[in-house]
Amino acid sequence: MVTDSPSDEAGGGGSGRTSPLRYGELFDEVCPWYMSIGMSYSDFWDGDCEMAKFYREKYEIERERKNTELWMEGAYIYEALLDASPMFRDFTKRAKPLPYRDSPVAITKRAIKRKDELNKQRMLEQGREAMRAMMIEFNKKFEKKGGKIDGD
Amino acid sequence: MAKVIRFSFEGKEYVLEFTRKTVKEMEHEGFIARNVDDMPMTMLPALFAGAFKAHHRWVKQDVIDRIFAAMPNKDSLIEKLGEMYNDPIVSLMDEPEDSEGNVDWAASW
Repeated sequence: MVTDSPSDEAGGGGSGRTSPLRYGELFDEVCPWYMSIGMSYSDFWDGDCEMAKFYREKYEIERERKNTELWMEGAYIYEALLDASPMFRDFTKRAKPLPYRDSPVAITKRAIKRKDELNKQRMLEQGREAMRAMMIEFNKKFEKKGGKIDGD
Repeated sequence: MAKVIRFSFEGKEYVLEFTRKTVKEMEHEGFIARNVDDMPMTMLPALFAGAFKAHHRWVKQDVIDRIFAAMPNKDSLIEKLGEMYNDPIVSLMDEPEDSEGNVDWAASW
């Protein structure tokens, strides 16, 4: 560690004493890094020293979030390629791509809840449609056999 | 929150704290934490006086000396001041992740 002590500047006097650890030099060394993660110069030097921990925690959270975003981006691209892939198949006439997903992947609790509700609603609608189709089919068969439907 | 010492002296409230800037200033003025054990009579009052820099920079030395003299439980006070002095560096060395902001350190003994 570099110090301001004269013996060090003069090349040492062979005292055998190790240079004292200077906190200031360590602070100087890491200050730019903390500034790069958003900590202001005055927060670093004059602020509550514990703030550094929270800035590090914030940095970790931001990295994780960024990583998730990049992963999601890759997943979207991958999915879009798969959806579009029928278009790129040779010898396939009238190949239709699958539609791109109608909404982003739900990642927040609120979005997941909303998506679940929508799915339930969609399933209900589909069930209702299926029931209606079955009824129509049944009525047709019934009519063919000479039956009469109420209201006709 | 950073470690601080609060007290009242002659009707005035005081908050003692070390920031990175005040620690660096003290080092520039010749304070070396390691020497506290070797030269307690000079280093301990200097450590105490340094704790005023963050919030009470312009308090005169003779007032600081009177406060120091009036402080009871000096052993405990010095111990706490030592912890406070180390706080600005300790807060940079928190485990567990090998974050880029961590300070590398090695003992010389």
